[in-house]
Amino acid sequence: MTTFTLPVLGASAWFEQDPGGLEAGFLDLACGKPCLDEVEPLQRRRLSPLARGVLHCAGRLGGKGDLRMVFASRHGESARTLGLLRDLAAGTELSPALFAMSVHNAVPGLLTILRGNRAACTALSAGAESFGYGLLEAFAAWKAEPGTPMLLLYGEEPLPELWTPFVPQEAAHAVGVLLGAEGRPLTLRWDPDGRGPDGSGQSRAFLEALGAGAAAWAGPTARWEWSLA
Amino acid sequence: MARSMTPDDMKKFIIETLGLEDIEPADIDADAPLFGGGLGLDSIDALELGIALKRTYGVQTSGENPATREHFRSVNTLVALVSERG
Repeated sequence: MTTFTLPVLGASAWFEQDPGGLEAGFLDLACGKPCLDEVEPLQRRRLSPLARGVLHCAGRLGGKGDLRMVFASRHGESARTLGLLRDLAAGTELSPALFAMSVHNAVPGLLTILRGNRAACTALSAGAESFGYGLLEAFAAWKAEPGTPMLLLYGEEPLPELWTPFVPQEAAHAVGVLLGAEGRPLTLRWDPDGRGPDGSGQSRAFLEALGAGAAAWAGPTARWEWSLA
Repeated sequence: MARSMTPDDMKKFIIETLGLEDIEPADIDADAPLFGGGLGLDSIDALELGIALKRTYGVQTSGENPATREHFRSVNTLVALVSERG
């Protein structure tokens, strides 16, 4: 087992539908319509529901200037990808706007354009543990350069029906975690001996830990236990 | 066959195709430049609009053709394009 201590400056979450049972407390929690005050109406034209949730979380945490970011999502913009694949199969010309927004780093890329943020950004996907490894990646990057904060943005949307028999579903939701010196210590016990099935709900367990003080979740590569000091 | 299309129809088509939130047809000046102007549309929007015009109205446009730039200048020039070729 390996133990990490992450300094959490703030955390925000957005759910399309109230997931129930989450305590706000330290967490900035919102359900329903995302708040996009930061984005001019015209600039919202290419934002998917996933992008809107992620930008909501980023907006709630603030962070101006060249803020380093990690974006994590298991499936990203799957509905858009499927639309493009269907157009390809039908021999129809692809929508340039859909194509431009279908890459995994499209959402953080858009955010950097909106904010004039020129700092480095990583986009990753790690199966059922995409949230956990996204946060760990953000923590590692913060450790390498602890003088500046690091933002994790994570989001999922339900998969198109075609793929639902093959993968566990996630509700439409997004999470933002801002790490930085002076942050509230959050302990992660990462245990590769306590593996679980390929499931869903890892980010939900993390959010429970922020409210209740501690929570654990087991996935394909490890058991993840978070607790607030 | 020539289609009868009004500037208002074209404005609605543009708003729907590009997903312009909080924009009403009345907010768009039918004779003002669509690109590089007040609407803030960019080259991806132009490509998107070109493909949507082809899908919906069967209008072929080419980025190579210098006339295309003039056709995409404003709502009114697009209406004229669809009326001629659609």
